[in-house]
Amino acid sequence: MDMKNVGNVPPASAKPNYLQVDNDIKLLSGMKGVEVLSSRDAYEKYDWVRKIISKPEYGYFIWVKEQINTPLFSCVLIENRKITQNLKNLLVVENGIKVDLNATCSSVKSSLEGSHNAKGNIILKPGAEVNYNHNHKWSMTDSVNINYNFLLMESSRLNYYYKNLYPPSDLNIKNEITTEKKSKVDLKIIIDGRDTKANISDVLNLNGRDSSGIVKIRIVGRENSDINAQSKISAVEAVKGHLDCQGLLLSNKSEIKLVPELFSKNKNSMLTHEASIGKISQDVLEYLESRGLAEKQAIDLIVNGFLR
Amino acid sequence: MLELKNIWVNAGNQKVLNGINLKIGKGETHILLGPNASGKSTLAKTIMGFSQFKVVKGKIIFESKEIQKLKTWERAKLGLFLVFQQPPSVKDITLNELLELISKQTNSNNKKIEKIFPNISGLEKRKLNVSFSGGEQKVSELIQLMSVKPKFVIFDEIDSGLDIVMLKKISRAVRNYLTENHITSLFITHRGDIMKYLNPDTAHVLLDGKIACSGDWKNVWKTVKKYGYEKCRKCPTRIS
Repeated sequence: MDMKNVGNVPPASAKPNYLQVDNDIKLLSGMKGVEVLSSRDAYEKYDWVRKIISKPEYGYFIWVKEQINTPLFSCVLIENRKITQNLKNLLVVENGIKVDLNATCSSVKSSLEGSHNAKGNIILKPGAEVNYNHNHKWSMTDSVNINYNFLLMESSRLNYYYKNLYPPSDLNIKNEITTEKKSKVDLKIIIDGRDTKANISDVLNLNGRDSSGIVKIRIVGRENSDINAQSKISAVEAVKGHLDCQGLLLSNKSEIKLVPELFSKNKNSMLTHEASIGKISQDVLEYLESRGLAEKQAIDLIVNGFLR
Repeated sequence: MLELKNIWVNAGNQKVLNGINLKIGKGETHILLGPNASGKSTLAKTIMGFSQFKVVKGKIIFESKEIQKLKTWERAKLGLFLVFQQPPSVKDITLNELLELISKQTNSNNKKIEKIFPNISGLEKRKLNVSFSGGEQKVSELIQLMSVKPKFVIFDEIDSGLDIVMLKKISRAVRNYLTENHITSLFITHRGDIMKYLNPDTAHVLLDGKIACSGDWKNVWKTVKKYGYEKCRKCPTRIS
């Protein structure tokens, strides 16, 4: 399998803990302190798993029970035409354990007309810390639906970074994050849209006292994109939350809609938001061009910075 | 090296340059003086090909090639560079990111630049031109200039907002850099102090979008200092 075309992935030497190609699970690899199963097997094995997810077809079950020193890596690829993937993933990180997870989902070439549907449940037990880098790379003919739920128990911390620089023509993303007391979340969603119709919805429920969260959305709308992003933070306790949604529109044939929403029913909470949609100013473009950068180079430089 | 032949420029429907003639030889340093709104910065941006300014008549010739129809980056590739008076803020990139990209294209060595400006490390990591002080803007512009290694540089009021100590320091650094690298230059200013450090070959006065006078910088500056630019308007040697 050629891993060169799957985008921002760990080094080629990194062995996936979960590798699925089309609808074949090619690799399940645990390690000391980490149980890795197919979610189907985990569903059969554990009663408690059945309480969290419905019966799965595919997807990973990763249960981190002890501290590990290497990042976990899951990789889901579409290699053949007209494949439909339905995944249910479950990651559970036990008390006080810190773990990095790099997840890559991709079609390996264009015109495969694949469909990737993934539901995820990520559970951080008290004091756990998860750095989750979720990289997607698709072709124009694919369609992608992802729906993730995160539960952050007391004093846990989640950094979730979803990056999609090559989105499909049809993209739907739903994230719901619920925090218990003193937990923290940093969520960043990056989409570089071109010929993309995307609906992004994220909800951050700051339910636990002294929990906090920052949500950053960065969207680029290149030619023929229609991107709708709705972000909500709700506060029921004394919490802090900030929503930062920014769109960069590069074409008059594209649309970006940003809908930030704040909801609070606690007078000691502090929720803020900022939202903007703009273009690259001609002054800035010509300034960079006067340094010898061609227009495309100048745009790419700014877009890369914007999406960082 | 650079010649402007009867250049007429519009900004929208407004005439902003009215038949500019200017010739700058290789290795020379020229000064362009003029009151506010006389068209100095417009001339600089016209030479660089900024889209706001349309050349409706005339030719810009750089190293024997007509460039008035080239895009800004194409002119920059030929060796033209503008040091901005007030560069725009670019909040999505750092100065260092721009320098890295420039260096890849020009094989320039930033170590040399760090020797000239030893305290730039903080500036490089900051968002480009965002909340830069006047002095920091100048330093940033000069670092970029040294990375690009152009053949011809226009300095748009490099002396504005600088105190006399900083002016002296920057002028000397610039003069040495231009001399060592055989770079031709045009300095736009309305202050005379910088000329003492640069000792230019020629000074020009721009009035109402036209070169009103050209000559030895000491004579030109002496007249401007004593009588103001109004004198240039009435000067019998005025080029009309």
